[in-house]
Amino acid sequence: MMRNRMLNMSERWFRLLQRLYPPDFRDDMSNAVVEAYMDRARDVLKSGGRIRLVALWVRALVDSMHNGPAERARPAASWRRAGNWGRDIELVRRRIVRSPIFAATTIGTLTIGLGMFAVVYTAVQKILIDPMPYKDPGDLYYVWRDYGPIADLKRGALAGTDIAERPKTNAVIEGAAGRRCLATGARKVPPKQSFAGLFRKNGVLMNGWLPAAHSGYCRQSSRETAVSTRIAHWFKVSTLAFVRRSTAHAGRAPNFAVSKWVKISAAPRFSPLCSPLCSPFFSPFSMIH
Amino acid sequence: MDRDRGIDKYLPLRRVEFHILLSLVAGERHGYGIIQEIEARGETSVPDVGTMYRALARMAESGLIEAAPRRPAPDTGDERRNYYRITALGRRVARAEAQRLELLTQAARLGGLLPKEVK
Repeated sequence: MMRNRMLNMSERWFRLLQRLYPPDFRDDMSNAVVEAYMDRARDVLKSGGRIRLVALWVRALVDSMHNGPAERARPAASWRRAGNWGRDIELVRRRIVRSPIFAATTIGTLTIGLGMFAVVYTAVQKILIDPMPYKDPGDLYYVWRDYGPIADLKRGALAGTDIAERPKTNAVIEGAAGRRCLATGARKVPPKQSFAGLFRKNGVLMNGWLPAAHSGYCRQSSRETAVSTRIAHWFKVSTLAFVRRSTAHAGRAPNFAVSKWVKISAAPRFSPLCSPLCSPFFSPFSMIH
Repeated sequence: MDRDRGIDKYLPLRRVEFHILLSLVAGERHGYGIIQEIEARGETSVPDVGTMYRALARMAESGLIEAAPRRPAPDTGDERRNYYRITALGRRVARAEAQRLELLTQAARLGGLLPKEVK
């Protein structure tokens, strides 16, 4: 009982003396130094009793008062002399050596995380942030037509008549970024209608995915002219440049044909504004500036 | 001998350092074990624990010794002791130091400081 008490007191004393050493040395050696003193204390208690134990305490004090400041003045290890950077690098090195699995997990996690961040950042940058390769990338419109009176298609493709009648209006189509075909049946059946859509180049490059933001227009009037059947003409026209800005267009309420078209929203690809009949793929046109 | 080039910079070793290398030549030891061996050699001034561990840190830094895997102490069952083992460089340096001391001892004998060896 008394022996254990003396040993506990000894350990507290030896641990207190460690404060004379610099923190880096304590991190490395403190436990080992205390344990060495405790080994000696056990031996001393066995052989000489309490008097010799007290002598050991005094000797430990003298030892620590000599070596503690000496270690602070001239550290044994060079990395301690290098200051905080040296200490940090040394600690990292030791951690890696002692726990290679932890180190591999950390490095792997960082690699995957940074890689994923780079991929997502690049995708967002290219699809949403970079301006589209057109003359006025901030003034592009996604245009469709309301076929409500003749079909259950509120927002379908522009008809050829819309294009044909464009000279009668102030709105002039200046250019088209791409077109989207209406899927009307089996895949091998040629599309019967198509309309001009504006898309981001990089979105198409990414397997035809449409970026989530684009502006949509619909007609104010529900009265609609007949849908054109001049498909061949439409295809011919649609592959050329159209959509030219005009004063009417500048007000973001462009007139196509006789009806007024108003901007309704920004529409993602699969939003309710997009007809399910719409083909998900855009055919890009060459870039015309 | 080419391998021994460059070890002159480690010489002469401090007394505690040479004792440490002598102890570790026989196998892995922890600090207090080395102190006990030094006492057993009849050394009059046994280094203190602090001196011993500073020397161990210094020698580990210079590559003469290296830390061995920790193990529980047989009596207390904890893992607080730091075990060390000698490196190949440490072994060469210890040998060179022993040769240097031997030459000095021979010179002392020739000079009459020590009694001549009895063969």
